[in-house]
Parts: sequence; C-alpha cells; structure tokens
Amino acid sequence: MRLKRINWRGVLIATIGVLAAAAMAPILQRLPHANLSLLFMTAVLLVAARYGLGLALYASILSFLIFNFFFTPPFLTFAVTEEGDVATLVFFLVMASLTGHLAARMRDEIATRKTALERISLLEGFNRQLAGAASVAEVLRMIAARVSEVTGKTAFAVLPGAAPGDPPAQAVNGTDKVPGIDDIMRAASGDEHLPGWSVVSLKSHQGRSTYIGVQTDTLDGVLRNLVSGLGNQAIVALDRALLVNDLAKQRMASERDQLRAALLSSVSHDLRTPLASIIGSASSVVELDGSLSQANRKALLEAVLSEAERLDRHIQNMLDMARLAQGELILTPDWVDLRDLVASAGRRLRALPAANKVRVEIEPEAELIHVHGDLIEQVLVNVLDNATRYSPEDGVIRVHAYVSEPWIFIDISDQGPGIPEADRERVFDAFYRVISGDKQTGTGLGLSICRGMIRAHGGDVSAHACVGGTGCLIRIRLPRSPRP
Amino acid sequence: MPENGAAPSAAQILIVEDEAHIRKFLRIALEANGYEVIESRRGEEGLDLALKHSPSLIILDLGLPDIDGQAVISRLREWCETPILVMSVRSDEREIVRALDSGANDYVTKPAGIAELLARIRVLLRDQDPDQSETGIVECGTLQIDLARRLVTQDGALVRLTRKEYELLRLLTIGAGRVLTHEELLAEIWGPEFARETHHLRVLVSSLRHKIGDDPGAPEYILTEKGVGYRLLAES
Repeated sequence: MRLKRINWRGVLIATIGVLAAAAMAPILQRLPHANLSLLFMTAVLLVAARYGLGLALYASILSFLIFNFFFTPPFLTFAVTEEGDVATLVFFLVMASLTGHLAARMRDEIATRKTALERISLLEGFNRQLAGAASVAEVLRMIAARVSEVTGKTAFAVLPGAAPGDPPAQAVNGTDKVPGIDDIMRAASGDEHLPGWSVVSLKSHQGRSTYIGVQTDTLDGVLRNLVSGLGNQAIVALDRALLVNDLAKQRMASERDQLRAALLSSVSHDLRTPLASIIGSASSVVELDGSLSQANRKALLEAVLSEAERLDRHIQNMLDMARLAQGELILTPDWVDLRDLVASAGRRLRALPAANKVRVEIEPEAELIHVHGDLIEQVLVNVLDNATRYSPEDGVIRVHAYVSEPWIFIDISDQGPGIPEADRERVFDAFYRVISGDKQTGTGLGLSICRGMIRAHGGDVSAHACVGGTGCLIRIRLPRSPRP
Repeated sequence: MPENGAAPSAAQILIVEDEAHIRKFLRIALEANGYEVIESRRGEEGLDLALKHSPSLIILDLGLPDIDGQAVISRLREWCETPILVMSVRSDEREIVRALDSGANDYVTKPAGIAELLARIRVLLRDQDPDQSETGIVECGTLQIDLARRLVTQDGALVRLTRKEYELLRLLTIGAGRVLTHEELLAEIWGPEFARETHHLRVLVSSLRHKIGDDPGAPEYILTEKGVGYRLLAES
C-alpha cells in the first residue's frame, strides 16, 4: 500500500464529501436510519474510488462519527445505545475497505495503461522522426534529444568508430561534456562505474554497439526500459544510415578509380599519339634511307620535330593540370599585348596543318591586357590546337578580341562540326574525351586546363555555336583592368 | 626498292587515319616501297574510298573523328574481304580482340616502327596472293611443313605431332605472320563451343613448342601476343 505522504487535498475533499452527505441528511430526515446510512455510504464510496483505501477508511470513520452524533439517539452524543449502530459502523468499515481496495486496483490499472499508451505514442513518434534521418550523426542527435526529453537530464548517444582508433560519432543533448569513449565502453560492460552517468548499450545487426548515457547515478527500471526501447528503435535507423554511408563510400571509391583509369588512358593516348608519328617518321628515315627523295626526307624530319614539340605541349599541360589541381598556380599578372600572345601561340602551333588560315581581329582597346602572359598563351595554344584539329582542311579560324565592359572577350571560332549543345559544358571536364571515346586527340585535358587558368584570372571560358554557320566558338572572358 | 620503281600492278593501300603526321610518314614509306596510297582522315570518307577504289589493303586507325574504327571494320566486312590492318594507340587487349573478331586481319599498336608495319603489310598482301595454296610446302626457319602430305620435318627429321598439334601448326602456317586470336584457334581446333576455353590452347601450344624446340622466352616460331592470340614468326 502506498501511503507515504498524507494527501491533504484528499483529506479535505473526503471531509467535504462526508459533510455534504451530513448536510443533505436532514432533508431526508423522514427516511429510516438504514437508508440514511446509504447516503454516507455513497460519500465513502466516492472517496474510495477517487483516493483509495486510506482516505476511504478516514471517510468511513468520519461518517460513522457524524452519523452517530447527529442522527442516532441519543442525539448529539457519541454514545452508542443500539446494537444496530455498531453494525452500521462495521458495515461502513467493511464497505470502505472493500471498495477502497477495488478502487485502488482500478486506479493502478488505469495508471499502468496510461503509461503504456504514452510510451507507445512516444516510441511511435520517435520512429516517425527516425524514418527521416539520413545520416548516422542525425540518428545519434535524435536519440540524445529524445532520451534527454524523456528523462529530463543531459543525455548522449555514441557510436564507436568502425576500426580501433577511428574517432567515434557522438551527439549530446545538454551542456555537459561527454565522457571518453573508453570510459563509456567500460561502464557499459559493467567493469567500472562511470561517476554521474548511467550507460545503456545496444547492439546493432552489424555487430556494432551504440551507447546511450543519461546523466544520473541510477536509472530506475521504468526509465531504463524506456531508454532501451528508444535505443532499440534507433538501432534500425542507425543500421540503415551506416549502410547508406558504406554505399556512398563505395561509390566514391569507384568513381575515383574511374577517374584514375581515365587519367591514365588520357596520358597514354596524349603521349603515344605524337610518339607514333615520331617513331614512324624517324624509323622511315632510317629504314628507307637510300630510297627517299630530299623533299620526303625533310618532310619526315619536320614531322619528327613538330610532333616532339606537340609532345612537349602535352607534358606542359599535364604539369599545369597537376599544378592547378594542387592549387599551386601563382599568378604574376603584367601588361601584355594580346597580339603578341596570339602570334606566339601561332608560332608554337606552326606544325599543325598549315592549310588552316587563322584570321586575327583584335580591336584596339582589347590589345593591352593585364594577365599572366605564359598562361594565357597556353590557353590560346590549347584552344587553337583544338580548332585546327576539328577544322576542315581549308577551314578558317577566326580570333576576335573586343571589349564589352567590364570584360575583354576573346572569341575563337572554327568551321568544324561544332559541339552538340548538350556537350558544351562537358568539354571542359577533365577527361571528358576519354569517357566519350577518344575520337579526337589532345582535347581532353586542354580545355579543362584553359578553364582553370582563365578562372584563376577571374574570368571564364565557355563553348558556343558559331553565329550564322557551323563550327564551334570558344569564348574567353577576362576582367578588364584599368590602364596604367 | 627505288622510290618510283613500283611494279606495274602496284598494290593500292588505303589509309584511314586522322593524324596528319602519321598519314604523311605512311604515305612516304609505302610509296617508297612501291605501293600506291590513298588516304582519308574520316571513317565515312574511308568507307566511300574503299568502295570506289577497291584497295588491296586498308590501314585503319581506331580513334577517328566521326565514327569509331570498330564500326568501320564491321561495315567493311558487310561487303568486302579486303585485308584490314588496325593501327591504334589503344593497347587494351579487349579492343584489339574485338577488332580482330569483327573482321580485322592484324593489328599494330602505336607507336610502331616502319619495319614492323611493312612486314605486317607484306604478310597480309601475300595472304591475298592466289598462288599460295594450301597444298604447298612451307618453310619456316629449320621447320618444313608439307601441307599436302601433312608432314612436318625439322632439319630433315620427322617431327611427330598429334592431330591437334598439327592442326594448330597448320592454322598458324596458313596465317603465316598474321595474328590468330585465341577464340579463332579454339573454334577451329575444338569447335565453336570451346571458344572461351583458353587453357586447352595453352596446353596445346606448350606441347607443340616442346616438340619443335621453341623457347617461349625467345621464340623462333610461335610468338605469343599476350591476351590476344598467337602468330607464326614469318621470315622477313
């Protein structure tokens, strides 16, 4: 029986109830005693149902006393003259204890059901919340928050790292510092007590344990059950989040591998193509020594030279790419004449099919630009190299530079097949060419390097269709600096 | 051979290659060896030229600007048997096997010297020669293969071969210098259903090499093309 404290409110209500019955009694004066006693019995019953056995007994004794004092002869005394009155007292007491006991059981039952219902709705709400959690961190945060909410204390949730030495994932709700993972694990295995914390450990399907801690020295049975209940639900969500994590990692690893394979393939292609010309031409000179005309010998040797230069450009591109990727490109801008850069890029490309005519139109205000000359020259070489490669034999390549504040634009257009609209952005991806099947040579790294270099200057480069005709237009945009 | 000393019926070779410098040295070297050369830098144009000129041989690059070289092979094989020599920087064995399986006759991985290329071309053109019948006697180093009487002798001494060993040697001999893919050899010797059972072939090649005294480390007769197949080292 739980009667640890006196329920003063209950005592007051019980007293009022009995007094109310007494007050109503004179109205029913005309009724016989036995019936009058039923009135008090009703009050006792109500008190019993509401407050349990203790107050029911109190109410029954009070009822008997009032009943005896006012309503049984001799009136206004507590003297008991009739045996029937004793019987009434006994009935009062028996009724009180019986109904009080029943009522108490009923109340307990209702209270249990209510807790169970609350717990179910709590877990259900938590479950719904967990369904939306995508990451391990989020699930841990939800556990900590909900446990803290339920217990009213600081709570943490910790998932140790997958391998020994990996940092654990953890979340804490409250202001206190989470204890070290080793201390938590020792406390969970029961080896050691963790002062100020109670730890519950939960095993996931993947065999990894998650620990939930509440900042309290003792966690009583009901709360411990509730915390485990919350934890067990969270484990499912945690397993799912871990799985998603693993999948994402695997995908990243496979993408990295693909990129590495693409790089390797690109490097081997870009290096081998000029080498094929060099070895082919040089071996022809050696093998066919006697039967070669002077002109053919010269043509072969020129091919060796120009292809060696091309090889050098590819190597330069690869070095630039590595530097761009590592953020090691340091700009030292200076005033240069764009006409010089175009001319020098053209000289470096002289080995490319000479039939392609390059028409250069640089408007006067676009002549002087404030850039890192070598890099912009490399950009022009790469773009012109592409343009010649895609141009028909007698195609014209146009370089047009003009100002449209606050930019300087350099448009380089060719009369080749052009780039389908869908691919115009992708051609600037490193290794795009390799992925799309190496139909052309030396373009993959080239354009992506151009973009890196131009962006380092605060500008951009984009691909377009030529206005009024076939072909590709590469537009370089550079910020215009005020003249010195 | 003098540069302009081409035979009256000079073999015509079509080059389909997008690299100008490669076309250039091929043209010079081939013309110096008495071949007539036509060239194209695109696949579609190459197909047109093949139809128009019926060349004796086609040298084909796999990486073309318009259509893939593999597609060019398939389309050529729909209507002509002209030998195709694939020249590619793609050293991936699967690419090579795919090209050979779809009808290419041989391949050279770039970069390659002109001598190797010319040797392959000679082999392919000789294959075409109707004079070379299967009934002749073929000599390969110290080895003499009598295709009519199915006899193999080495330095005059008879080499005893099993039926399958002889069949392998015969196929390599007919292919003289041309690469034969694993699949091709397996299908010929064991039947098409064995086309993937390369281990049978390895065992057979090993026993044949043993009998004709060929060292796989420094082969005199049978050259292993790793991941692709085998070829008989032709005299050059």
